[in-house]
Amino acid sequence: MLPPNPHSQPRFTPVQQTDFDALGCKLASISHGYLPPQIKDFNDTNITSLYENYNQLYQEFHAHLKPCLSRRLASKLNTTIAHSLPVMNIGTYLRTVSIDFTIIQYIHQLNNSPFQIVNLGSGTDLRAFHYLPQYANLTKFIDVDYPISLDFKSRAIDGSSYLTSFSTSRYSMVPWDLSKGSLIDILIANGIDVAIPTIFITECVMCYLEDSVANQLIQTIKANFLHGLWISYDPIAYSENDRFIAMMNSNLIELRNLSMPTLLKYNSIDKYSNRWVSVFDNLIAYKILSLWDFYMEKLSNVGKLRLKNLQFLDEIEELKLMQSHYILLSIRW
Amino acid sequence: MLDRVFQQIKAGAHIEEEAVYEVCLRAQELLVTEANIGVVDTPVIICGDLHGQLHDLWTLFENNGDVSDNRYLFLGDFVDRGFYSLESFLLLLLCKLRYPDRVTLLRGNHESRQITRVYGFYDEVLRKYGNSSVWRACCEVFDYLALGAVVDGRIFCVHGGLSPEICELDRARAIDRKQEVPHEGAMCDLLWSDPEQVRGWAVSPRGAGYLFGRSQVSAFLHTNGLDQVARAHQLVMEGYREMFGGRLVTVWSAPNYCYRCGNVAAVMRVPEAGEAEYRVFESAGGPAGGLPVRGGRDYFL
Repeated sequence: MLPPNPHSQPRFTPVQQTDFDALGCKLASISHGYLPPQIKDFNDTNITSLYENYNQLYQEFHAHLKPCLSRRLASKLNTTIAHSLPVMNIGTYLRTVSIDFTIIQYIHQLNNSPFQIVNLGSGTDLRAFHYLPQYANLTKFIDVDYPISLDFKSRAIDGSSYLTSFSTSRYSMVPWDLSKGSLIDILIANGIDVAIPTIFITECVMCYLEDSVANQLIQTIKANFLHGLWISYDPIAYSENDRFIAMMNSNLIELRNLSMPTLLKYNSIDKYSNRWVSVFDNLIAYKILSLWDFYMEKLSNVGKLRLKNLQFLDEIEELKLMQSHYILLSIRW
Repeated sequence: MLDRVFQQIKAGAHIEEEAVYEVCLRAQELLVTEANIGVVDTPVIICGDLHGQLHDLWTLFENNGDVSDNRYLFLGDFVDRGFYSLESFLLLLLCKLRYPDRVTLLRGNHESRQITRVYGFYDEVLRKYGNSSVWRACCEVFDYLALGAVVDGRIFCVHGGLSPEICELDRARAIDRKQEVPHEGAMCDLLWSDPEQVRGWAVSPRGAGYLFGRSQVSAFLHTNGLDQVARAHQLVMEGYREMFGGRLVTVWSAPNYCYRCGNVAAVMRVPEAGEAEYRVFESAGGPAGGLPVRGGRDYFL
């Protein structure tokens, strides 16, 4: 590995930079004890086995990512970790566990038959390393993201023998720009079998894509995969002039030149899910709920209390306002 | 000296440590003479949470008139979350020192050492002074802030809400308030509780204080010969919200809370005679040069 040279560091686009926000939030949630989840956090479903090596995975990853980062990025990451507020830490917890919660319920229905996972726009997410050791029937896990994003990720992983041990032949990184053509060919070239049930994850990905690109992605996956589950996490507006979302758009443009082109177009839960429902004529089931609903319905009282007490959560109204504006859609076909 | 600090706040200039200590000391000397539950005449302008949004506080004064000609009651939560907690708090203290009879400052749950460590005021002071002494001096003042007030003998004003330990207001008058906000008990409840559609007293999702319903409000008002509870503490997107047939009102005075929530704010204007009027206002944003880019305004990306 080449020694880092801050001057030659490639420039990240605003969308690519969001991965560092997500990573910073995740590390903050870990350092404050929100993540990993505990068995008592939920009423009926146990997802804790997925998080057995969670702290060590992310500690190793953070340690080996540092030398690859410019001083500016490294210090931004440290600031996020040190100063993340309870509403952000709980939101990160909810986003993380709600996705795993949904995936695990699907996997249980597969009865040990083979399945695959494709994490579209994975960034630095290490989900592959939780799932691969847990499920022998997980035949392939592929992370797809911009070359620049996966380059960083693979450099950090290659630097750690601990992390490398998780990177088996069942795991691949596929550098790819989702707005470019045929994703399917490159997935197949990397060992994906379109006949096997496949889980697609888009965690804060669809919101950054142009409408036509996002719809093409949905069409492509529907046209090629016989069975699967698609989980999509995104912000959502509830009307054309949703004040929270309008402020979010203007803040993100002002602070980081980041735009979310379809947020005000699909301005209801129905309009958002219909992007998939109208395409998948072989739909088995779909479910969409806000992350506030997830918090209220899926977390046990003991779990809610645990999260609140970690840092003195004061702002319940703010938590509700923010989490109501993020949704999790799951489509099974 | 007070005038100079006022001008510095107005100009967005740095305030010397010594000046902060002086303001805090004088405020402490004044506040110590006040009762737990103050008595306030009408007309009065009742204001809810401010949370360090200094530029919105200036707008509030512009819209509602100078402290020299108007009576103001602030329901607490002056600090945390916004970028200008120190300046906002000092501005209120200066107003109080200049016009002691025209300004009432109540303690909010954020006027606490423990909460300000998490929610921004402590970090703000470290950023501006390189040490925490100024934060410590402000926390000393927090301990002397009043816990409630009765306007015109009919409106009970408090930051959070009611307490199962306080049936008669005299019980609140007897609290030894000069301490850090405790984790439980009457003083904690006054600063932390919320109204809700519940029967009886219920566990608060905040982990401190209680949820209380219509019957608790009715009983409290009846026992103490009052008409209404005016409180703050909860973000309301419309700036104010009446509950229980108008017997309780929540007032929120931090527009676009945390520069992110998109809400409007309001103040409650209580005239000498007749109905109270709510005056809604929008955010002024930040200083002319824009808000700091670092920190705050976070989203899940």
